[in-house]
Amino acid sequence: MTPPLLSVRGLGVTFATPFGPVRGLDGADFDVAPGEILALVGESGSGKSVASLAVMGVLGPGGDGARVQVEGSAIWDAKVDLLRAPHRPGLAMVFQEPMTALNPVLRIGRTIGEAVARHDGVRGEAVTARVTTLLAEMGLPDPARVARAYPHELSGGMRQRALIALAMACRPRLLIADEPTTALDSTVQARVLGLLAGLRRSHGLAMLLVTHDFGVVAQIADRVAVMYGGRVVETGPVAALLAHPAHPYTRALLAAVPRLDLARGEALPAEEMPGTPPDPRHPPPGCRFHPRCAVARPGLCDSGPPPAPQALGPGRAAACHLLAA
Amino acid sequence: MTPLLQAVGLTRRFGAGLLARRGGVTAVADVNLTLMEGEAVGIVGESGSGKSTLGRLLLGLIPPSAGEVRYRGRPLGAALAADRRGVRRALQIVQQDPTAALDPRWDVARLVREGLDIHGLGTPSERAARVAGLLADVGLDAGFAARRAHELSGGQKQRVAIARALALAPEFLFADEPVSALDVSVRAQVLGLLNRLRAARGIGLLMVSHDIAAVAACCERILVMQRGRIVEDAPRATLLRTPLHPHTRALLAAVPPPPVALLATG
Repeated sequence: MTPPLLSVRGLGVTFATPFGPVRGLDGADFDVAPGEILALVGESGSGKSVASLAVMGVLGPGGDGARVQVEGSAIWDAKVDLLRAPHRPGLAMVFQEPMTALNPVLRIGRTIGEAVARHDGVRGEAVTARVTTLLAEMGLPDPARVARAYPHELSGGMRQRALIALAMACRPRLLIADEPTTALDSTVQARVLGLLAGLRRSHGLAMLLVTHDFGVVAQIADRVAVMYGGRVVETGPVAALLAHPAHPYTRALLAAVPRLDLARGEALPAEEMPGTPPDPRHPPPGCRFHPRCAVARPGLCDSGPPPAPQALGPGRAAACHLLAA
Repeated sequence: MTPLLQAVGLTRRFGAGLLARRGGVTAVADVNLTLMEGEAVGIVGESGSGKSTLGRLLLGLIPPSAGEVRYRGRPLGAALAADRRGVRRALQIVQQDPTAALDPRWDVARLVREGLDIHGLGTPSERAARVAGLLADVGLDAGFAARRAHELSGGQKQRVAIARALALAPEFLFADEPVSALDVSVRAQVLGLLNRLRAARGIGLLMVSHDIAAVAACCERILVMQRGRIVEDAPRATLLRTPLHPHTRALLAAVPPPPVALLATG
């Protein structure tokens, strides 16, 4: 097996809040192989976005004993401030809302040009040429015109493509994308996902894709890590995990997606998953999913945290008391 | 079944202010539509296709630029002029963003009771009992009555908004992207709740969403809008199996197949 491009072990993030320290991410483990698309799936508060930001280093080194490595070397530890490190080791990020991620008073070409100049150490014409190439590569018609435009002059889909061009200007090995298509209409979303899949093919780019949408996962990801309450509860290859989800949460979450291929009476699950995702300020004791779990066993699931993920077959693992019992 | 709401040549232009220079925007263009009593109809379309504007026109929340809305066969404007409270009671709305829809200063009991107070329905003790019943109907226990919106999750807020809309025993509910702001697991709860309440009370439903799967989980008839026009109007199964209009096909093609079905078939 090829060594992972990105390896994350025991990643935790604690936020200081008016309610006291809140554990937004509680020891997440996952790997991304070179050229692989790993989807971090979860509902609000699951820690999926926090995990992506922590890997990117924008939250600062917050892990206690966490290890985040790119190609075997630590990209940050408790002693290194990544934001001031000389360069980020091949990571770039695409945010959910391109309107807030792009500076509204700068033309697109200027924004991307800054990254090009810094990253490639070039100036003048070379910057302009590279910006135009990048925008063209993102499937934007008339890239020279887009480069002269301000963000508000572009449609949502065009802005998101410009943002991906900005990330690609850093020539990343790993692209971290946080809900990159959530703000877009469905037809535009499909085209942006097509663009990301194309970049993976042409550049051998690996991706950490944060999403709440299993449709997006099925369309583009190779592997999935399902998150709940700040922890990874199940990982596996997309096809196997979607066809035979092992963790009770994954099963209930998949069942909650309305089915278009069934009659109206059957489009929704007969038994809905009750309750809401846990409030990170007051996580339930034991397994964080047990208050909503249809098969939770009193005395077991509410007593202690679930055991380390159990291997369930090639590349598959889930962290559940009942699977270990 | 008798027609509850009808749109006849319904058109709405937005042309003032900043848009005037570009000649304005026609959000709804010459729409003809009949919604029967108790019917569950969904509208899908991309942002800006006019689906929310159409719903607001049908409720009389904004006036049309041309054409008219008929409520039980008579012009909605005239019906409102004759019996504003009666018509408002009959036609209720659930908005997309439950946080914006609920006054943050009021507790849940007052929020749900407001319509009963305005319409002077029942004695104070009857109203309190009715509020308790409504909360139970939307799956909130009595402890929620004293809470304020900021103490509720998104799904709980949307349940309160639904209880508010149902308080006046409406004939028709316009649900504008009712689950778009919610998590996947909570989305299924709220869609299931809408289905059960509708089945129990025979309320007509118009649900607007950009998510075809959400609409198809609640509605037997689906309309597709594009640039202010209804480009397809068909029973759910027909639209999903044999979409005719290219835009319907594009919308369906862009919906990732349900992951489970995708794998089951291929």
